[in-house]
Amino acid sequence: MTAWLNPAHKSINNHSDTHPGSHSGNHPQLPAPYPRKPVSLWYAVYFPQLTESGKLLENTMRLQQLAELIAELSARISLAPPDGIVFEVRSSLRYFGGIRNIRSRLQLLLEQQLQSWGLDPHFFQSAAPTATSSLLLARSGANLLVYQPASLRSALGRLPLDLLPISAKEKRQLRQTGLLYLRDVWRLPGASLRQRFGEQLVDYLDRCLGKKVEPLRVHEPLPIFSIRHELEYPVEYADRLLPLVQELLTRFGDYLRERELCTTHFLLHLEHEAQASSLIEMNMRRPERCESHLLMLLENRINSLMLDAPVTAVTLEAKYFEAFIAHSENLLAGQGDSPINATRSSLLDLLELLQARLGNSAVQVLQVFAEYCPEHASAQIIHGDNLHKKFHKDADHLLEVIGSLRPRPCWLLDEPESLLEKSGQIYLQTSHTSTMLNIISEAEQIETRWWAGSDVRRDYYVATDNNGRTFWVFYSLSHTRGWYLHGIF
Amino acid sequence: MREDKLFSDKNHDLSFKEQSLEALLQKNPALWKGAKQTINAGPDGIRSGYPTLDAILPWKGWPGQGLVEIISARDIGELHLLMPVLRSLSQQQLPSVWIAPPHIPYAPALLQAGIALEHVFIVQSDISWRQTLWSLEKALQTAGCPLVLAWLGQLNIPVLRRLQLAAQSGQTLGVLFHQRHISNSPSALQLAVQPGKLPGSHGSLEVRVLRARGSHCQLSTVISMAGDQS
Repeated sequence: MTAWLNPAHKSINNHSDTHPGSHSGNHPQLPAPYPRKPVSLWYAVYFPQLTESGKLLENTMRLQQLAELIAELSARISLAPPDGIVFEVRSSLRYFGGIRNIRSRLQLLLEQQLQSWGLDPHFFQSAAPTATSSLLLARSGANLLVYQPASLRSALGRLPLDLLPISAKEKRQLRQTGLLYLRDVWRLPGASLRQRFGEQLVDYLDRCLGKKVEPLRVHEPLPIFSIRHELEYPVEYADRLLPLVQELLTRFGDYLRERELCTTHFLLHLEHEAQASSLIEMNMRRPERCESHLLMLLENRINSLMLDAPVTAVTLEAKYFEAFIAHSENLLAGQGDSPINATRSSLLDLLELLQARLGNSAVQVLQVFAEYCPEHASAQIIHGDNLHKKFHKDADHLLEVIGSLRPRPCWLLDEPESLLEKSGQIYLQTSHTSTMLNIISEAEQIETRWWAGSDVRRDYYVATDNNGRTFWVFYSLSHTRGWYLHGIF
Repeated sequence: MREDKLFSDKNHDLSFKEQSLEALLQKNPALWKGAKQTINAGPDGIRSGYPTLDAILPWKGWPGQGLVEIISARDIGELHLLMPVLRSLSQQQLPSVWIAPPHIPYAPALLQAGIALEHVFIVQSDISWRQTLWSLEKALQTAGCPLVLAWLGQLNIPVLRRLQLAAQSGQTLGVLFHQRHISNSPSALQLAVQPGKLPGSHGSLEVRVLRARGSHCQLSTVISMAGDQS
């Protein structure tokens, strides 16, 4: 009980001008409507600089990030958008060794963060037994600490009514009645107040004083799963890590199941003695929580991993989760799940497996473009990059154009290969032989890309050699004059 | 009625042996009538799109599952053998996976052949030999991937046997392109492909059956590559 003998309120900043000590003795005779047990102490922080940028979304993100920092100090955090955060500190007072320690720690955390955004590092703070009142005090710029619920009335009394989160009309109404400060309102009987100014104001004041339950939305930090396991001795071969990885994945699977979550993305850090840790990034095609599937995908990656240095510790980390939805394929088997869909899904499983082991870029799809220049008309795109989808709108027209072209070769060389021209004949040269080519078609002229700086003026022909091979060759009329081999039929 | 039934039962008994033999021959591709040297064994395969080629193959087309080795010099147009089947797969919305192709497949040519690009998946050739083999085995084991084309160079018999088993378990067709003939290969079919020899026969391929499960006729035919455009 000695805690209650402390001065009723004191300034956190110890500035005597913010110390409304004279009010403390005003209502000693008030019956205490509050239970004599440790009440909560809400700490409010107010960042006027946050709303200055005017970007709502960015602002919300920043407020959440600040809340993540505060999570170190309190387990009950509530956001007061757009510019405030309240959190409960009574339960952690003893742990941190008093409000002053909390305050200096908070100052350190938040100032750093605000500075990193290039914002003014100053912010306002107050602590009071109710969240609403502490937020109001902080927003008033008071930097007050009010321990006792009984002293709230006097502490709040000096605040101008303009600060209350009420409509301009109500504020005008209050002003016209001659009420300027909260203490003016305290003097009025509650019933007439309710009649004259409405439920909202009275409810708000009741919440300030703790007479009414405050509806608070406790901020839930974004779930992060991270477990680290240090190895007893450094491991040199990646496949030796598998049992440990399996154990980590089992715990990960349990975590996901307990929360009805699944994930499409997780990371495995392999830490080394004296160099940066290697990172395995797993991206899955569909949300997954079954550890045996995750293990299979990861196993493929680990088995093909070459370790630069022995591994000393392994961390499994996941930040992005999705709600788990059970697959209902069997239920709807009659409608949507045609055999083609089923084979499609087993194909996608295969492609996912290949990409997991060989890297995303190993599996590619072909894409055609409306380009006259042959090497720009076709491209290989990494499977899963949805880039190719957006070109499909003119697909029919493109198909028509391609169908009207002369036959194109099945294979295109990476780069046109230059051919040898000797006394009116062209020869394909390999390391030790040269093969004569016979042109068997008319010229097909392709002139394009002058706008791209690479002037393409070519006459394409079909040519054969004596070994039964058929080639696509061209004679370049631009500055790279000469004969080239470009494709193989 | 009863007599009728008895009678028919008898009849059935008489032909039972022959019927079950036919049924067995139909069912089991590993059984064939050696003496007759017919080319009729096992269930029908996939139409190759070249009627003359279908005529010399025991499955009246490509085998429905297993390995096919196409042995030829490089770049003589051997891919054209597969163009019709690639087209019919893509019409059925079924995919094909190309593993380690020797050059870049040229998208306009595939479109001209009627092959939809979204059903063609390519596994890059710049991966290691072991990983290429692993990819091939996994692809062959995947039922959703009915045709796998692979350019792997020389393979030995244990590897081929393993791939043949993978193709059987996935009920898929794996086509391997390479340059040299391996005797005693466990593949379902080995074809030797040469450019058409007759003068003026540009654009044709001479296809010879080196070995086919279910037949020991070494037949050959000439197909025209222009035929796959139709």
